[in-house]
Amino acid sequence: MDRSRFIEHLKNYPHLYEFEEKNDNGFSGILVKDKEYSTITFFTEQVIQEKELVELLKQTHHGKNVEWISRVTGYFSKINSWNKGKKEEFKDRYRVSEVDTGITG
Amino acid sequence: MEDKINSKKIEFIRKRDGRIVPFEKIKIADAIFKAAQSVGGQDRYLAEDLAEAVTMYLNKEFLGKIPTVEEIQDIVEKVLIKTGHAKTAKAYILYREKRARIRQITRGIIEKDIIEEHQEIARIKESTDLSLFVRTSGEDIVLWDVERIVDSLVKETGMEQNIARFIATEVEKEIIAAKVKKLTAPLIRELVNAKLIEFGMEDARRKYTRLGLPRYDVRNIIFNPNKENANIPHNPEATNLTLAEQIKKEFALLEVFSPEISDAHLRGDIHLHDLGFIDRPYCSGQSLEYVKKFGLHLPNALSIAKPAKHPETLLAHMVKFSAALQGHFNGAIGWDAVNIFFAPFLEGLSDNEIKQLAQMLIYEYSQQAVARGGQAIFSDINIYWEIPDHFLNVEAIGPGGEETGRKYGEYQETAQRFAKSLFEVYVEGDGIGRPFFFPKPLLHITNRLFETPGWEDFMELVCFVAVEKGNPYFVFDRDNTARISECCRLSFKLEASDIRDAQTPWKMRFSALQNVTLNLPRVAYYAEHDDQKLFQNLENLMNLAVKAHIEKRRFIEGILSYGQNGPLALLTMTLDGEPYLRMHRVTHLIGLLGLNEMVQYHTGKQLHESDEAFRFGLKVISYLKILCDRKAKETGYRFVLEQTPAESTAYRLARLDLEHFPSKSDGILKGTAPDKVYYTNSTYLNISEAISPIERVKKEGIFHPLIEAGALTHIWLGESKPDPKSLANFVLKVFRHTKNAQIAFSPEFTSCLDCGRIYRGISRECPWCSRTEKGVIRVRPEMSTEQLKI
Repeated sequence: MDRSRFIEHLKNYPHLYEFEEKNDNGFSGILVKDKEYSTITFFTEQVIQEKELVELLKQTHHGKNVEWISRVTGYFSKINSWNKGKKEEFKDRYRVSEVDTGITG
Repeated sequence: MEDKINSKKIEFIRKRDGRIVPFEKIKIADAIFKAAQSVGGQDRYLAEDLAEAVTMYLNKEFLGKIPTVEEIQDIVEKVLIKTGHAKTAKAYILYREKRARIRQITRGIIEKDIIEEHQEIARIKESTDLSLFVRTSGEDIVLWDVERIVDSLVKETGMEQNIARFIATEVEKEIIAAKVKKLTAPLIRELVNAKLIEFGMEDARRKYTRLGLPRYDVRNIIFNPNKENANIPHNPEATNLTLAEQIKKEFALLEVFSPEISDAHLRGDIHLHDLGFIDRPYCSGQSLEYVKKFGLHLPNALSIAKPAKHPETLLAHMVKFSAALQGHFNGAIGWDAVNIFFAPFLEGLSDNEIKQLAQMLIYEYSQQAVARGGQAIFSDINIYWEIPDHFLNVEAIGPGGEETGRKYGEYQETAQRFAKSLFEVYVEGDGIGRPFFFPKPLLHITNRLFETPGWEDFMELVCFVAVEKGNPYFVFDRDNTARISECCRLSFKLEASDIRDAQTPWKMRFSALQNVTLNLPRVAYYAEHDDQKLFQNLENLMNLAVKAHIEKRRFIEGILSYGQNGPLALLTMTLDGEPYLRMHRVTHLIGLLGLNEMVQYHTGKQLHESDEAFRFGLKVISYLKILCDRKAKETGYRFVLEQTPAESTAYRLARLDLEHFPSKSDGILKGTAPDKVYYTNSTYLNISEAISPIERVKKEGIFHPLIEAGALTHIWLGESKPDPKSLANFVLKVFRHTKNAQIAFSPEFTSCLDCGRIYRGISRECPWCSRTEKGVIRVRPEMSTEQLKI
């Protein structure tokens, strides 16, 4: 993608990204700090040129853009929306192991 | 009474209107404390000591006589001054004067005084060229007019006009003195309320209060997601719901429930569920036959649809009616025997066509995000492999709302094909393989299942879904009991009258009006290990819950009395000759929370730790069941126990107990203090204990027959995937050898929003997306630019 469009996008979302253009000793690219995922990613000029915006932004997630799903009380829902008590209960739940007596026994 | 007067203690006082009432020392302490607070005092015990001094003085001075209120107040003043509390005495005297003034105005004595005051204010206004503007709530800026306060006070609080004028004038004096130029309607209301408190008119203040939110909170609600309910999305519709809920909640606590009930809720003795939905009943379970027979003929609808002739149309009617119902109830919308009632529309369709319809049904429910704050519809579909006894010989309704001339027993094969298709869709999951959140399928198992060919393969399919995606609930209808299940575990056991209704199945519908949950651990904290006290406290708590139910019931009856012109018009429609919501048949739910912690505090052991503790738990629930039945007999309303789902209740009541009973709840609350605490749901055994599934199902199941409105045992699968055949055996074992009412198996998933992959279990990173692209470097904070070159 066009380098300037990438920079413009980062500028439009100041609460999500901070960035720095690096250009020293013939080494150049853009260093992006993703505030939501607390990550820092360096993109070379070449990769910026080759990739689409959406691909570049996904790289700043470092694979952490995941949702967890389980049953809250009756229905399934996304765990990040549960209250603190329910999240704590979720951690405490005793999970049946595959060899648990009773189900496979 | 003479004897009493001759006693050595003051027992009665004479009120200003001449009535003789019992003397209450606490009222003196209250008055002293109020006066002390107004000058910065905070010592309640001191106020009580001073009240004791006043009482001693009274006993001496009024031996054999009945003092008047004025005489007592004189003595309070004297005691305050003599004991060196001059400031409090002054506040007390001032308060007395203000109350006296209000009494005089009521009697019309200083009408002249007020007129003079008005003239004085008019002079000030003229001389200072007062041009005060008010921003009204009707989006207008108008000139200040004190009469608006007078009118609203009279209208909203019912106070007499001369008192309203007096209060309004007092407010106006303050506004003039403050020299403000612009006012808002909420600010004026706050000033009036402050004045009402100053003159001891607390009741009027409660009526005059404005319900709403601080600006800061509104901003927070708009920008941040709602964590109270895991199914509410974060979008403008959802924030509208949250804002409305806040106001209705305050309204409910002020107007619908009496102070005794509201206080019990705020203290955390009981939990009144869904206060933000005070003007709706709780939840509704119904039959598709209503929609098949009457079409979509809803009150105030913009268009009316005749009974469906095609399966897709019937599906559309079902979903739209669900959405309409969701707007009128605050819980789930359940549908009975969906595969059976659909069957007359599916005759002659190919397997592919039936599967397509199954897919449409599940996607329609799971993707509809229109009702109630942009949520999907909380929906449940009850499914049978066999045709249960109560539907076997019922006339089937087909396209166009006409009877087909055949009985439902004759549609078994088609109903089974549809049931299979539904579970085939569930096992595939959504477009990226995630489990569907809605509608929840509930598979009923009756004795007839085992006589119905093909049941083994079908059970294996449903268990495959349970292992892979976790959706199904298994509902055990043993020994000819019949029920319709929905919500997190709610089920309506069919009574004899319901079974009769089954002959005209469009009449089959069930509703719970409200859920009130009892904070069981707190009962134990109050009882201090004393059995007798504990059972007495349980009874008191049950009485409170019953009173709460009746108060909500009266409120809903009030709304329903507006009929077709009221906000619950939908529930008053009478297409089948009866209102949709039949108040004489609704159930009133008594929810249970934290039996495990109650028993733990009371006996020193958790439910799973000793037989004695378990038996004690059983005794508590049996007692509550007896109380429910007794209350039902006394009131004529159906009170039944329910395992409260407790999504927010388990957290809220635990936090309140941590705050109010810190030493007693220490070591009892589950989770980690200070703010990540919770109580074990309902009658569950400790959820973190390594108890084998069959043991848990058996033990928890012992409570289930007592909990008529729904009980369930969870088995958390996590990452594990048991063999579906073994799971099917397990389910049958539970049906045959336990009393457990419902079970569910719950897996966990990690879903990557970047690549759309889904993984079993909980992981922090998507393995696929954690890989880096060439030309991209993931920088560790300590890395230097030099290192980046590598």
